[in-house]
Amino acid sequence: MKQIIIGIILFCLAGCSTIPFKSAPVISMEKADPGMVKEQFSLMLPGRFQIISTIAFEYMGESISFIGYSDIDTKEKIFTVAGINQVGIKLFEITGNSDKNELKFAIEEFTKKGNFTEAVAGDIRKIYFNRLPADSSKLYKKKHEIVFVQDEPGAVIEFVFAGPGKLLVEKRCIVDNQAIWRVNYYEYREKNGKLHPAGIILDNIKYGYKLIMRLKEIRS
Amino acid sequence: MTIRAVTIFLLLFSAATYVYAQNSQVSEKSRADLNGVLSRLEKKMSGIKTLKTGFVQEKELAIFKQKVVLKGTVYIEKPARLAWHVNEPMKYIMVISQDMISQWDEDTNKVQKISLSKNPAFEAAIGQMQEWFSGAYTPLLKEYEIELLKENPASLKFTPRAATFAGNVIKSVTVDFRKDEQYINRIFIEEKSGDTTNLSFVETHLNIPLEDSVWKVNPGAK
Repeated sequence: MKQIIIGIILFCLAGCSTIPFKSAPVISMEKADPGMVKEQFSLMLPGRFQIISTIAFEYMGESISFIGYSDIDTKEKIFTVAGINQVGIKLFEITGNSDKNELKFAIEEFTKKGNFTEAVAGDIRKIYFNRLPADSSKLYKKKHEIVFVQDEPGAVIEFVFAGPGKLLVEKRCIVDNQAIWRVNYYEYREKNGKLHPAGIILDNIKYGYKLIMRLKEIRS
Repeated sequence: MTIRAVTIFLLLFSAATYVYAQNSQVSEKSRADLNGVLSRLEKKMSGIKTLKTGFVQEKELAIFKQKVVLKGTVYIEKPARLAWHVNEPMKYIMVISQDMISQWDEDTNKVQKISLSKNPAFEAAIGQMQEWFSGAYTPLLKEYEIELLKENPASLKFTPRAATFAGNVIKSVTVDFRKDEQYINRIFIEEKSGDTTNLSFVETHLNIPLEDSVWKVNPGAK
């Protein structure tokens, strides 16, 4: 009985939460070659790109939105991101590389609580860096998904490939059998032979917030 | 709201911040020229009761050397109503009326209301805006030095004086008027950080009736 109730609640939650993007069509992945899937996706990943997105940040029933400008170098693991509000006021500016993150600017409200710089930098890395599973990853196939499982110290990162393009649709971090964050990628768009997700949702389950990113412009 | 944000907020909405320069280094002739231009502009602007204008706002962040472009429409109704509608790259509406700022955006689809009396920084910003639109420029006299870049149509460069509110953030603000000088053609803000904002006004209509819907944020919002 308890399981049924939990099932109904989960079903309702899933049904009620609106995803503002189209999920990849469900197709069979049974005949897909995992090695090829990974290889082809790696060829379509952009190395360095600049994008403009709108970003909605949801936390404890509250939400704010702003315009994000990101310069990402996935090979060098370097990034610069800035947020401006809808009347053109700069909210923050952060740069980062493999060693450190640097807050160039932020309005006071953003720096009052927690470590804003590390949080933003961490989210950028989760979303844009390491989108390919390591060669040492294990894998398992589901009817409509190929899942690569990569061991990390104290955690497991799972990469889910699905849809007609056999593209990365989800990346999630699991600790003690529970997902602590997940990134979902939607509606890939091609520019100059490289793929960019038009919609991204980062769900930070551990800290209870969500980022919904809508791609507006690619400046590769 | 930080000093920086409020300052830029003020400048983005400033229409004609023609301030009297009391700099002793300015020659008598140029001071007289400037006074003449300021008086002329004030007289021309004083007849505006309502305004509808398109805008293109180009924000260039020094760190990127590339521009973010916002496009939309501004509505003003004297003495105290202003609506700022952004259409690109996202839909956003901000309405300032009496004691309240209401804002909505399509991504969150929520309306947020901010009471001016409970937010002194915003209240100060709006208060100054109202002074600019009404032609009461005296409170700004101490803030800037003004250079007359061009007399007809007027082009003015405002440089914040040291240790002023604006001086912490802004390097200069240039305001260009359109040919008939009835309204502004462009506002260009240079920040000390190297960021710039170029706000161009297009398809400006003066003293036309404004529809009630202009002052409403999205009715379907949560």
